[in-house]
Amino acid sequence: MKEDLDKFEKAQNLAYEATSSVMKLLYEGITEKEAAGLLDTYCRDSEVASFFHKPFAWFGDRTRFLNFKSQFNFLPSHRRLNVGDVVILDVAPILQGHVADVGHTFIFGKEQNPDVIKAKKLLLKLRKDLPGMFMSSISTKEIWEKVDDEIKENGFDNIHQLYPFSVLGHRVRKVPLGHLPGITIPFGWHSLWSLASHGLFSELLGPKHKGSKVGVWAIEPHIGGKDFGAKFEELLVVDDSGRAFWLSENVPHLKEGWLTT
Amino acid sequence: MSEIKAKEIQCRGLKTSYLVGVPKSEVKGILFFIHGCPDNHLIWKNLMNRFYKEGYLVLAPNLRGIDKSEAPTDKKRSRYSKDSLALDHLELISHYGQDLPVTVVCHDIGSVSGWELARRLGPRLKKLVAINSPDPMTLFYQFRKISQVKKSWYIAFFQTGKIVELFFDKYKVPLAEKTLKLGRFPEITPERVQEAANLFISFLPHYRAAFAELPTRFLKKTSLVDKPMLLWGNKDPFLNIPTQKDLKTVAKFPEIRVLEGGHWLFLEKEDDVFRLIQKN
Repeated sequence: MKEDLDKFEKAQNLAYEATSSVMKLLYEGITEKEAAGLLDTYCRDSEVASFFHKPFAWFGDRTRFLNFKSQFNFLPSHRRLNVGDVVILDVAPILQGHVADVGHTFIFGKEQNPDVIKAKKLLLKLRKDLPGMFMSSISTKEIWEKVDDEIKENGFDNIHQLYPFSVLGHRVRKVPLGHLPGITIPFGWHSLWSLASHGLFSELLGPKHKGSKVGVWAIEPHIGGKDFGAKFEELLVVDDSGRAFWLSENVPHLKEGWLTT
Repeated sequence: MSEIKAKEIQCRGLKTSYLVGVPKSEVKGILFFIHGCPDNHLIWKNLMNRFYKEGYLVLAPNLRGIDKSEAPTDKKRSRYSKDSLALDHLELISHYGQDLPVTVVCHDIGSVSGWELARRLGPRLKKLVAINSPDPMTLFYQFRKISQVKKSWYIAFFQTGKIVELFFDKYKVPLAEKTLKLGRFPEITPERVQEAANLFISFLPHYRAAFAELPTRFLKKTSLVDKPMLLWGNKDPFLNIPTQKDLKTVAKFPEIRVLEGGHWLFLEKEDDVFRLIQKN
């Protein structure tokens, strides 16, 4: 388990390096497709052959999935980046068979947005509370509901409700043949195999989830304000003894200045 | 070269060596030079010094696998792809200034990453100056003409794996000398020939990656580079002068300037090239 966790952490660190580096390379006018392409190149150059899902980049009002009518709307579009836009970069590389899935939210440019700061504060609160929820006696279904209530009580919309199967998170595992390239439109065969071979619904932390809490979870609360969305995504470990903890505390959203960037 | 320093940066696990000159006073913009085959970044030293003195921040990396720029140990072709090379360049540029306008100057096979970098700089791109340096798609369209096929047969030879490597082991020095002579390289010294001979083999992965990427380029629509300036030597033995038609899939309103000279036009006609790069 320890060795596997180290490898999951290595994959997660790489994913965050990719989002942090690409964040610095964005410019006014770049499209979501081009930004996602940079994430893809960054990971492939770093020994990644396949992805759990295609790298995503969402800009501006697309970060809150406004007018998303089909699964294809999630894919990076030709939407161009403007100064002051909220940006979400979401990448899920498979490194040496270990899946990471991270999301990073920031504002492009130096403009401050009090609503975004408020949303990020809520995300940090959820991050603090989630391990406790997993360690408590409440079920995963109730965790989903509790997070949903908290989001709504704070005046935001629940955007992860719009994800496939409305997931707040999904389990990640070591996948076989992770060194082989995967076709990802938008989910790769590695992810489909990993989810389906373990019963699919028990792997997806949705509003109807049933099953064990034990495992490594990619948790991704995604909340929406008036014309923006914000999320974080990172790996949470629940061990056999029921202890829950974030895989790493060295993540961008815990670093100084994240609230205002 | 006193103000131009040799430095190194890590790009996704691989060391990239580069030359840089940062003016002490106000910076007018970035001049980014990408060398071709069989050269390294030192080929730009004269132009770099001149632009440095004009107040430009000048940067010239060694391409992947050339001199001190590390090659991937597993010979992974993707590290030589246009996307990967352009990302190397973007990381280097962002290290020095995210907001400065950038002029990209490329030569020969430096075109693969030069044209891609120009596409990815967005509004920061001031100008692309391609010196005897066609985008691979342009070269592909030029292959319609038998004269270009005759000039570029060696690109097909470079795809032949071990055969070409054995050939280079045995004949790299005469090949380098012939290449420099044909291309009208000024001042061919035994040291320059030896240097070119040693560099040749490191360029093979670049030619192979550029060739391998051609099919995907047909499937993927790329954005057009706005108003690039193409400087061409009329005596270039390796590359035909591109026409507006050859450039239509890669450039919008290209400006083609033909000068009296060979393949290393920026060495032969340094003053003219210096003036034209500065031209708005």
